[in-house]
Amino acid sequence: MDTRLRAALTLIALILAVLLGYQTYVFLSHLGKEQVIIRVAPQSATLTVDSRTYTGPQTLHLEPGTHELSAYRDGFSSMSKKITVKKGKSQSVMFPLVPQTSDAETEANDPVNAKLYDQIDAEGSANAQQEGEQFAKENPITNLLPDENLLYTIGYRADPNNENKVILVIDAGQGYRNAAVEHIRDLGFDPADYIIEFRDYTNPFTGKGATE
Amino acid sequence: MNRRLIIFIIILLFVLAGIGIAWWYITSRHDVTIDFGRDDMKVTVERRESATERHTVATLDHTDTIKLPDGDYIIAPESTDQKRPLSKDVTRFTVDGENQKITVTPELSDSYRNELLDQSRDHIHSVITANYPTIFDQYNVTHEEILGKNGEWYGIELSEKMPDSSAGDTYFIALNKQDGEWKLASTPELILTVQNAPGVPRDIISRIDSFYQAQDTDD
Repeated sequence: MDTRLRAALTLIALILAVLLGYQTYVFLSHLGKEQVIIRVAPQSATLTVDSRTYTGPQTLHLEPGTHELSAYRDGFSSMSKKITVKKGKSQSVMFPLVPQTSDAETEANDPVNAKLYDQIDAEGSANAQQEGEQFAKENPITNLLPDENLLYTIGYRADPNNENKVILVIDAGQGYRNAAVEHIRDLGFDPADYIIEFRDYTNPFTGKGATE
Repeated sequence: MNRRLIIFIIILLFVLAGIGIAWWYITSRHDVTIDFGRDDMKVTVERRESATERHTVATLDHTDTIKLPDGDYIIAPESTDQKRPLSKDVTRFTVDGENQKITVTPELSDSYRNELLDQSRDHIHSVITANYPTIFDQYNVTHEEILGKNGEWYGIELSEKMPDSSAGDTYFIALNKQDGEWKLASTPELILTVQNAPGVPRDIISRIDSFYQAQDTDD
């Protein structure tokens, strides 16, 4: 009896040790990395993250920095994306591959894959809404733009070099550009804090500032 | 015995009242640090009792912390260098239950800045012309000012000369005095921003951009 009890206790201790070791391994391997949830449909699509390949949806932990992701499946259009993983920020990436052949169409419509496409669609909408809200929150001036009158139009575009920031775009004729800038001040924002582009304009002193 | 007890109670009440008053006095006052943004000045701190009535609560000649009860106050700076008078603009603040730090950096007085401008104008314009030779042929100077704590910044507003009554563009330039020499600190821009004038302090950018509003107001 004692021997059996000892054996059972040893087994339990061994299992606990293995579990603890696994948890420690998982913890250490995720240290300094951020969670990236990759949704891909169909389920059998091949996913490439940097140089490693996977099959189907994945939850990975990646080092902060830029990573190249792509998804491929015969009969479907392939997709690739470059993502930037930021410290302390998890993110999800969607790869809803579009069927190009009738066989692929059949595969995409099977219940498991159809459910995956629905999930991606729903999550994509939710993400877009969340990103839109965040963008508006960080750039409250966008709630008031475009602002236009007979003399000028003030709009904005996303700043390609500064995530979640905007570049104000002023479309005004000669003599009305300064008035447009002052209107930004009238809206309650200091134009000195923004990057401002003027359409169809070149600074006569620097040659810069021309936009389409 | 009874008489002694009454005297003891009266003394005790006085002591308690004294402690209470001392407690109220200490807790009703808050630390206000007046941080001197420049050395060549002294400041007078006045409490505003009403729109017209105020009384001096402190005079300081260096950064110091004073205890003030809740209320509205002003800090009036005065230059200690007779040759460099300061702006008489006052700093208003309110003590409302919390300690606070107020930095006072008055700029040079308008008349002294105008004096500096008159002395430096030719030099400054020659620096601008050296970089943009025809600028004063094509643009009118509609506003220019010496700015900054020691008059080390200069801003100019230039409005395009138009052949008829049509409107032209208005440009702003910032210059900075380094080692006694004026140098361009920005290119001419429709508006100076933190992006196109990165070497110019934010408050100087705002002052120069506000020339346009000043001109509007004048009109």
